[in-house]
Amino acid sequence: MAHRKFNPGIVLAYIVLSIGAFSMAIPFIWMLSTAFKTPSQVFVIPPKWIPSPIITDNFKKLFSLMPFGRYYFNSIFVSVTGTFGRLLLAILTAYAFSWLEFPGRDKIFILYLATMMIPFHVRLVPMFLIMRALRWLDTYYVLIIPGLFSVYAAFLLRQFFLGIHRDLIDAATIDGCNSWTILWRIVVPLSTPAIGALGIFTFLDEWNSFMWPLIMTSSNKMRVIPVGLAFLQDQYYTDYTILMAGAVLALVPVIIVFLAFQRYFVRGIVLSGLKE
Amino acid sequence: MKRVFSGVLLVLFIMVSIGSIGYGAEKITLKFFHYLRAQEQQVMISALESFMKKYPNIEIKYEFVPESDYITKILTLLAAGEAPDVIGLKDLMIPDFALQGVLTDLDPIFKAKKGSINPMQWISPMRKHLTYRGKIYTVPEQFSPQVLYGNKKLFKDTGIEPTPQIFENLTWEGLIPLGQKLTRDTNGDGKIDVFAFGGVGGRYDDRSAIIWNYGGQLMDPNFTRWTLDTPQVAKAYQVLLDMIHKYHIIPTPEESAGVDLFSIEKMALVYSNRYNGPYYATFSWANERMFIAKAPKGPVNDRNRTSCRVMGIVSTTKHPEEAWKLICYLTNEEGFQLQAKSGRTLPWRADQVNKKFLEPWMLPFENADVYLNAISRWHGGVLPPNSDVCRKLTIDAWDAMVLKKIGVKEGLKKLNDDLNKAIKGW
Repeated sequence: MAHRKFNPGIVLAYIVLSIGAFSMAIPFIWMLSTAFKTPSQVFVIPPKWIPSPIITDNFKKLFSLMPFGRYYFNSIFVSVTGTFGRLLLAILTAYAFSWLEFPGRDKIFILYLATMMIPFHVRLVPMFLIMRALRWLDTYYVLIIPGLFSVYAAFLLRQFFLGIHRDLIDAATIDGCNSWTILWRIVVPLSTPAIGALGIFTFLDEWNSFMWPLIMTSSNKMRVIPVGLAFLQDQYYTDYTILMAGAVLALVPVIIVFLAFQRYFVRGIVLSGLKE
Repeated sequence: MKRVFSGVLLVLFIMVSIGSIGYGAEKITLKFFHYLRAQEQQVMISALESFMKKYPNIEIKYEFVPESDYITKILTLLAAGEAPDVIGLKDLMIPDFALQGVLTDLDPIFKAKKGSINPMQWISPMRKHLTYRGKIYTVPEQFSPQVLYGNKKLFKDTGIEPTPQIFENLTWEGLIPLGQKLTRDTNGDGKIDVFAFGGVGGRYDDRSAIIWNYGGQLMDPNFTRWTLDTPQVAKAYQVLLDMIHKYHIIPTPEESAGVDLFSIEKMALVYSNRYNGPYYATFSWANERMFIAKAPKGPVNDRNRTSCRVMGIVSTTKHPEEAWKLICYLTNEEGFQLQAKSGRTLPWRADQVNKKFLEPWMLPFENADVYLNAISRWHGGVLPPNSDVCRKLTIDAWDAMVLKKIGVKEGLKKLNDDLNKAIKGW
């Protein structure tokens, strides 16, 4: 029976990585623990990681203070539809800018990219006026549709699509495939790592979106979780127990998405160097 | 029969006429913005609903915006021509909004004696405080002067009975020997476990009372120039820094590590105000062991500072009369009583600043006499323009001094220059 040779370097690496992983996990453990604490237990020194007593009142208070269930539904609905919509449009845009030939393609792409340079705050008022003119303020349209058009997503996928060997595209063309078939039968299946990673980042982007929904919505029924949680803190006082209860609930879909698409996420980062 | 028929017709005519007047009256919609936390929103919603019942021809569309981005949202909506009609704001926001023309000058309304608000009924410091460059743009909504909140147990553990006499003439420097007794290493490990004093933030408004108490001024009377580079201000800062570095009765940032030591009974006294009353009431030990006491005074005077929340009418409103009705209701009638239940305010009308009016509101650990003393020691505050930037600059300067990156005199000179640059052009 072959024994693995003891390698002190690997042991050291595991120790360092374990410390790093643990230190990254501490805020999450604190969040989870605080969600089940009474306010007087929050800042006890040394910290009590396991609350005593364990209470669930913070979750009840959260739902009594605000329509958190509605915020939750809004966040999920907006994030899921926004993610699929953005991916669909990004795939179509990226394919057009990578494999379709049309006059001025690269110049248009540069112009398209240039819009990324305009800061969000500069666009805010004009965007507000456009949304008002469309009568989209305080509706799901305003929360979903403007976010579907992402230059960043299109740029990322275009670069990935350009990495697909030309011979594959040419072979498909010779076999009689049109552009639509090439896109969905060749390009997209070969790009699943990039699309998966982009999907996760898009979901996180939509899920954590704060300023856009804050400015564009006005009624409680259209608010999303990040805006709702911001109502639990002010300059003088933050009720950490309720805030952490909200944060724990807000984290659940993110963890589910991450676990479901973890392999794409890791491969996507490796392949695209993508990191937010 | 004919007479009966005519009578019925007449009654019907009158009913239809009255009805048509009712239907014909235009229903006005007001947009109301506030930055209230979730815990406070229900109180305000009740007040607004109560207002709509009283004035059925006015509909209020209310919107709460988180404090962190309140100004951004209002300015965005203003730029887009969608501004609210009535806004709640901090007193510190008044200059920025007033100088940008966002707020309506309320003086003509006061002079016309419309509504139930009369600034002449306010305590005079409130009138002075809210008169910005000769005009009153807002009316008070909440008002909380500073006092000391203490922990009886931590006093008794050191053999000190926290009687009102201890705090009667307590000075900032007198706090040092008291603090040295209260500061303790309870387990003998060489580290302090219980600190005497806290709540000394770095913002200019936090620092104002002690600066006044040592004879300094934060700004000139018109709030156009900062005046922090004086020996009096340096002395005030030095006293607080000595409490941290020399006497160690206030924890350093490392020692407190962002933890509210008062909440976990590791700090005997905290310099705070009634705005935090509902928070303190959540401490399991509050009803049994918490007390309030008079804030310290200085060698020159005993002037106190306050936290104040106000309401104003946005200058672009198309319904100033209705907006004014709403403000009157929320700050001076039933709405005020509803808000007072939130436990974060004290009265500002001279006829209400008395024990009889205050006592029904007091939480178990509160004391009306202490609050009345705090109100009597308030002479108004400072309202610089560009307040967010000024606040950040004063916090950064204080942090640098606490971390000994810069000396007091040098730090104040630099801070004063930076602050004056920040308000230049406003």
